[in-house]
Amino acid sequence: MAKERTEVQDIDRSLYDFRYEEKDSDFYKIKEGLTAEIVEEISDKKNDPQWMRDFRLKALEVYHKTDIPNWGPDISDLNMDNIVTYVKPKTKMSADWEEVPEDIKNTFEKLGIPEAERKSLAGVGAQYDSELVYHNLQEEVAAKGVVYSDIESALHGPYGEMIEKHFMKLVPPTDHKFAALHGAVWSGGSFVYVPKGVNVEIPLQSYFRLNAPGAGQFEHTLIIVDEGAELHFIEGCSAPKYNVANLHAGCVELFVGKNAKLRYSTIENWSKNMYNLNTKRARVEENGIMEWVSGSFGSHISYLYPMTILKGDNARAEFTGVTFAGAGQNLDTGAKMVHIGKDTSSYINTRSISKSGGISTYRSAVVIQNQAKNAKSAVSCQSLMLDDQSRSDTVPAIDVRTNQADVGHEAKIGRISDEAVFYLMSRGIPEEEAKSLIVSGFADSVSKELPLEYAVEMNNLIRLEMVGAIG
Amino acid sequence: MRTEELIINKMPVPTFRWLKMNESKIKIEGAFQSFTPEIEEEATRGEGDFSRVVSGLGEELAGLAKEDGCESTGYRIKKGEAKAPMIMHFLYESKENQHSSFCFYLEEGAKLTLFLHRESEEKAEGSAYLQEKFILEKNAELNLILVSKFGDAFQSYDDLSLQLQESSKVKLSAIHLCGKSAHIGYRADLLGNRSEAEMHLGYFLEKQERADYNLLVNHFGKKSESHIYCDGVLRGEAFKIFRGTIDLKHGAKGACGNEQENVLLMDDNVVNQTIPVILCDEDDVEGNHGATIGRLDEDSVFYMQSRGMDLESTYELMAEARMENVIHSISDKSIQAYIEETIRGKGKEEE
Amino acid sequence: MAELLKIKDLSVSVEEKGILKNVNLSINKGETHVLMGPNGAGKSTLGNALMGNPRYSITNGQILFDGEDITHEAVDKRAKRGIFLSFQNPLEVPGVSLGNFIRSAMEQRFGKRIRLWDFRKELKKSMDILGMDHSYAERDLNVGFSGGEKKKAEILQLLMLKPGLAILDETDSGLDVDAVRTVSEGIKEYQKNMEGSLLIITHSTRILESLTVDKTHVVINGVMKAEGDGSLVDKINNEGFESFLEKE
Repeated sequence: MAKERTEVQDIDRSLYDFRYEEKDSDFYKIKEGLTAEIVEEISDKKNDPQWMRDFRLKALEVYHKTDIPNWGPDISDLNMDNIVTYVKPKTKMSADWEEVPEDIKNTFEKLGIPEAERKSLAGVGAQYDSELVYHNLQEEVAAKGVVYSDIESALHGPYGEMIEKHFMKLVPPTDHKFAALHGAVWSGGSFVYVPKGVNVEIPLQSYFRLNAPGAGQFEHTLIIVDEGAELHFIEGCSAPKYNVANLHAGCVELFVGKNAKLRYSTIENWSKNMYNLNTKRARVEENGIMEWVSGSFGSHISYLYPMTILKGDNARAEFTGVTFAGAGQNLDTGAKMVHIGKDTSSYINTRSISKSGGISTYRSAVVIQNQAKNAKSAVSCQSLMLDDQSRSDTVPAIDVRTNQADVGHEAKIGRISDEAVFYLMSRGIPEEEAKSLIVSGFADSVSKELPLEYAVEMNNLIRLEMVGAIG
Repeated sequence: MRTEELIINKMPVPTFRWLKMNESKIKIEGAFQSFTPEIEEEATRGEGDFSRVVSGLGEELAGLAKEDGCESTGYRIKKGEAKAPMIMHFLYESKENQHSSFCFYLEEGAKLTLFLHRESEEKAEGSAYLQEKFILEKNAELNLILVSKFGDAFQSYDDLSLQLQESSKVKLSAIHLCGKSAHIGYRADLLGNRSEAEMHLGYFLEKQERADYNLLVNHFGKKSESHIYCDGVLRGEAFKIFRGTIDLKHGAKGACGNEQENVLLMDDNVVNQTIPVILCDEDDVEGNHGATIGRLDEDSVFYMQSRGMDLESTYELMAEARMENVIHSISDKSIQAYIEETIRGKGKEEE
Repeated sequence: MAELLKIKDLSVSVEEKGILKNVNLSINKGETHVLMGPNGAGKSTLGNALMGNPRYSITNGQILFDGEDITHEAVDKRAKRGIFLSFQNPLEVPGVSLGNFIRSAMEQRFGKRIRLWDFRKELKKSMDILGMDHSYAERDLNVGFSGGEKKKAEILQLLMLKPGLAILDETDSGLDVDAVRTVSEGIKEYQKNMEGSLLIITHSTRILESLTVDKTHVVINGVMKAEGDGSLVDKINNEGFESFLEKE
């Protein structure tokens, strides 16, 4: 059998890399580096309430005191002093797509955002650099009492107190250096509240786009799904490519109430100069269900391990993720599950693919505390190496503190099996097509969890990576 | 008196710090002193260059013993020689910092079976550090058996490092019945093509015993293979951490690394930490890891109960099975019998 | 004849899905019953429910064994009473030899220590009936056993544990002609010399060819559809289950 490898092309990023030439004068920009003055300036611009002003400054102190992690991909090239932490587009937030400025609108149109909304979304938010430029929620959904807005305006509205009660309580600034940074300079993002018993049947979506070179994006997503309520939230991220490093240090905090259910899906396709140091965390109460679906394709370096705290009895969580690391990428991804309640269960199912010198690392932690009687946890992580220039590591940690637990872990690393390729070829499928099919099949566990349009997008990303010019 | 705080059993790649699993901190008070075991069927003394055989626990601790003037004894098994089983019996006293170090050089095609039996009196207090280094030349074979059983107040350090050349093989069976704390650092560098390491590790901890493992297998050679089986039982308030790393280096085409850990948790206050790492810098390789931790699964319990076993005897039987399983992995039958009879006190039943 | 097993209006569900509906069945001491039905009819569910598998929950009805209600009794207690279930995929236990396992199980079942000498003698005798090499006694329980060897190891346990009621779940599936014959020999030995009652669960009729059958029950979609004597086996052998399906 021919041992020849499929020549796989770098993904055609033209769709994501396009951008409109913008003049710096179009924007309000804060000077580089990070000081208390800058943080206060952000508070001024945003008209922060006093507690938030204090919060930011405290977080900044923590930021200066905290060291950079000694594990994970090397981020020494990221010079924090060069990051323009705050870039504010000159437009106000709009609920009417027509009012969004033409160039920004074109960017999103090209990414298919409003189109997706028209088709299948209950609400859409679009963030351009640091601020939300567009937010809309279907009337029927709003009528049920569902709140979907940017955090800044919600802070001053009737939900201000609720935000104060939850904001960075799951991810405190002391968590790690980039959580502290986030606490100090966060900007934009979404606030979602689903009242008791309300089932939002169609997904809500936020789309983040980072357009300014050398900028940071620090959006905060706070979602509270109250007792017995249900929500599917979709997050999409992209940025064009610049030579200057960009930083994304967002924070997602999800509160899943008793008997509630939240599915949080992300397709991340940041450009390959992005440092994606994102923190996501969910807390699940009794009988609640948290489902993560995560596709990581972009960025230069990623640190991403959504954590689920299964606090209530019988709470459940599932994490399904696929990571595709190509040339110049070091994607360190995985999940964390912390079992506290009785009869809690967690399942982590991941696939990672490395090619053209890309590095993918699966990193996880499963913690079963002593009080989590009858907890069950299963992990299955598989990695596929597409050539001998790439790298794939698996670093799962398990900590079990009660005998009344069932914990299983399975990891596998290897390449595409020659037999599988041979089988497909014996049925008349050309080699490259066969390999592409196998890789798609490998990632299938994730794509089948996504809404159709996203599954199609993901499969396209994989196909482009695999078949390149042929596809 | 000198007090040194050291870091040992460091993971090859660290992970989240809050888990506190990346390494272990120890304190050594006073100087190391040489301890000489009883030896049966001693091999021929001989030299070899072991400077590039890296310690399993960590060079810092090894260096400390060296500083204190503890020497290492070298053995050399000649080309093609098949050595009768050599037995080292370490019966430690109530004393701190007892140190022994041995180096074995197996020339081409040489074969050695070595049985290390480490124990202390049940009431003994103190600590003991054993360091063993091995170099296996082409086609050499090493059968290594280690059993350690220490008193409740005894601390032990168990440091093993192996370097394997082409087509050489090591088979290790190690049983730890811990004592107060056991730090176990094993490392195998599979340098040669088709070199093989098979390791069967078993631990049985109770009361407040602690076991701290760090196992590293580096695959450099093409078609090199490793198979690691780790079976353990935790009872009482025992604590165990098992770090197991398979590192498939660039160029190790056709290499295969497997690791399976099964931990049976018998009591509610045990702590089990497991971190099975696979590092992979090569595509034409296979790496597999599996772990099961916790109580017995429902199907096993149902089967045993359907044959009349109550839950308690089912657990006892399964715990016993894990121990037997490791003992069965020992190819030398006389050593197997010795362990069953002398160490486990299972005399042959009257027929 | 004395009634050994009585099942009254038994309904069983698995993961909240109802499988068996109001099943009635009784087996006298020394009788051999056959439970037949197509795949998925609920045959194995009955076996598991009788043994007390916690995955199968009894939603209605009663199980009486030797006149005592065992509907909610623990699995090991049932085994000690003398109920035996042969598994389709028996557990593999590295580190416990087949011989040692059987001896421990016997000590549990009979509540007394069993002398090694007596045990070995009996074990060899039973292994000979099943044509098993004696070395199997030293091998780890079911580890590396072929499908046929696993089935034989189950029947070996049956002969050694001498239960009052043996439930054989698809013991013939996956066996070649010779293996079916030796397994049948083992079952005959149990029938004849131990006066044991049998409930043989099967969807084929191969294993029944050399056995005398007292009663045949047909289960379709979780419901008992027909009951008859041994001749019903021949009827199914010739016509399949279709005639029972048509009745719906």
